[in-house]
Amino acid sequence: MLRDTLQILLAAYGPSGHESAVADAVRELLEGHVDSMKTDALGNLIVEKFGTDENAKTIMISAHMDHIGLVVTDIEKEGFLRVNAVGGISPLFVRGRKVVFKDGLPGVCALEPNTKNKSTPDLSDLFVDIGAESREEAEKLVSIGDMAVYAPDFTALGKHKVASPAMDDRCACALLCELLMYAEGQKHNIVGVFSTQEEVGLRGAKVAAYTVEPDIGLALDVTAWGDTPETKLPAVKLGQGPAVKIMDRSMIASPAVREKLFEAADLAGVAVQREVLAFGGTDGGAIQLSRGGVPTGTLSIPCRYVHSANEVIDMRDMEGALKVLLQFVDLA
Amino acid sequence: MHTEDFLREITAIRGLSGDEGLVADFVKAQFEPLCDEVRVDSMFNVIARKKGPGPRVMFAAHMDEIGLMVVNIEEDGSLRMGQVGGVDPRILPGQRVTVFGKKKLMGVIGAKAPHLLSDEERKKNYLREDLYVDLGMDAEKVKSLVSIGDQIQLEHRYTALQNGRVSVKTADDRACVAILYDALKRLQHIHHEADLYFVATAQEEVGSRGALTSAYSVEPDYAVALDVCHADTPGAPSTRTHKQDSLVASMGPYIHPVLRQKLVDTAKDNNITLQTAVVPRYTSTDADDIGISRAGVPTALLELPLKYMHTTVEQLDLNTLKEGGRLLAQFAAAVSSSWEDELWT
Repeated sequence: MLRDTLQILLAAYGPSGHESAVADAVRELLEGHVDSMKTDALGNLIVEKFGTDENAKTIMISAHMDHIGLVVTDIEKEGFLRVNAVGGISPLFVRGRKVVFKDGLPGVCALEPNTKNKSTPDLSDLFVDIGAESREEAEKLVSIGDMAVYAPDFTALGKHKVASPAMDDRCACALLCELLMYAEGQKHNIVGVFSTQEEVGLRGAKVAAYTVEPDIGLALDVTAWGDTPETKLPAVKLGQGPAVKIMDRSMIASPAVREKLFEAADLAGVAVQREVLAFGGTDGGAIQLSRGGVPTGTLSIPCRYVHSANEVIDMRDMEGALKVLLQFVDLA
Repeated sequence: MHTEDFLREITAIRGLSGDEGLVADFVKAQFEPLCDEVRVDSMFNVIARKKGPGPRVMFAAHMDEIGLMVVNIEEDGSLRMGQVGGVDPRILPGQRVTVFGKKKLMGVIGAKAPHLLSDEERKKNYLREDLYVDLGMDAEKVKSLVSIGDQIQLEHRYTALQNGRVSVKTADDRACVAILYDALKRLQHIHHEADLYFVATAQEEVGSRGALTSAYSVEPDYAVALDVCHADTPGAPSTRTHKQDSLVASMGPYIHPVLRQKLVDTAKDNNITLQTAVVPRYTSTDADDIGISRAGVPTALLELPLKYMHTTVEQLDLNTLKEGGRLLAQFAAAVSSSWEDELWT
């Protein structure tokens, strides 16, 4: 079940550059369902499931495993941790949050009191309290360079929506897992790439695309929302179906792939939205520019409050996206 | 075709970054009789080869165009706009545009009447977010014909001014594609040793993406990127502008000094005037990405001075354009396998 797969993947620790626990979870889920699995030098998990058509194309489908987080830069003499950002993490979202380190060590984030009235505090105004009473005690638990992420916290909201940290992009990892599990006798070769370091510059997908040399590229990622108070753009709503990306800062989707996605949605009977994003990027941007160029698109899951500890998606959009993907890998 | 006619026709074709298919078809058709092979790749780059036994040389000029895109349709049917490439919002009010929905639709971008502005508003520039396209249709009809992501093209009218000056949209950088065309015509009668690749690149305006992938495919030994720079206009900082009547060969860390000197020498040998510009860091042209393709490519940059860049009345001097064709053809003929030993001495 999509929801179960999602929950398993959301629970794994995986800031950018340290994604191996997520890869382990994916490997366990996919054991016996695919033709090959291998891990490359950047930690990308590259999974193949061969197609049946004698002229099968190779479709690289990427979902990133890494999660934004905090990295320890200094330990104060009272035992508090100073941190910097791993990926685009805002102090406004972090303040008051519970975080965890690799071994499960918890901490809570607080802002210095004199920054309470600042409209945009800096990360340097923030510290992490792990309960240590001295630098010596803290140093036994944490080292400079250790990374923390929002503590796992899965919550159902209403009938169809779920909230959790790391929806970006574990919801796409869950989709890719389910696609690889349920695609049966599809025309084309699927190369699923569970990529690393997307949040720090699409770095995993870049090298994976070089290795895979695909005929077609597709990134799966979350996109921003326009359906909450005083939020206008993009014109994307939760529960109205997955979104086919027209463009963002990293990529203008190749028209041919974009149209194939619309075609697949049509055949699957799934309503899709059209997405134009003035900011942000996905693995698609890196895949499209690999070697001599790869026709590439992105299928997005609409997600509220992206990069906060409560990223909200609608499971109906997930179910719809899976149906579109199953058609997409079977299209001529 | 006369080079001027090529410029007139190519600047009229729709080809926003990422969707250059129609421009690519035109360029392919025009280059084909002048080359040995022409192909359009998955990014819509047009890669035309004129064979020779010598070093592989890539000449690149981008053919994509900046423009607008529908990002939202308001309740009343007015269209909100996003941008593809850097569109200056100050030029939008008063524009006539074409929206490429289920069919081609004419529209206008208006502005709040000056009578209705507050004193505060009078002092401010327009923001794209506050403007919209008015199709003059009721909302129902608009929603049935227009979708989010549809392209909006600014109006193009080719205006021939005095003294060989021309004002037209997308002279950046299709005027340089016209230089490639002009050079190709001249090369029909000039012997060249080099294996020549004339590339009309895609997606320069969003980050030289077409140059990145086409340079990887072509794997050139040397490259020259062609783009526009700013021509002198009243009030513009003179250190950053150049005379409109001759080409500019930029120099700086991103430009290979010896290859640039070869370009300068070729100009001198053929009585072609060249100005110099100093670009202290990145050039923000295709040259930047071509230079670091694969194991690295010695790359020079040739620039055509243009007034009013990124407006619909970009102005150039046709004679300067043709001198560009002459220089490029002579340079292509001068490339020799002996250059390899001279590059870093």
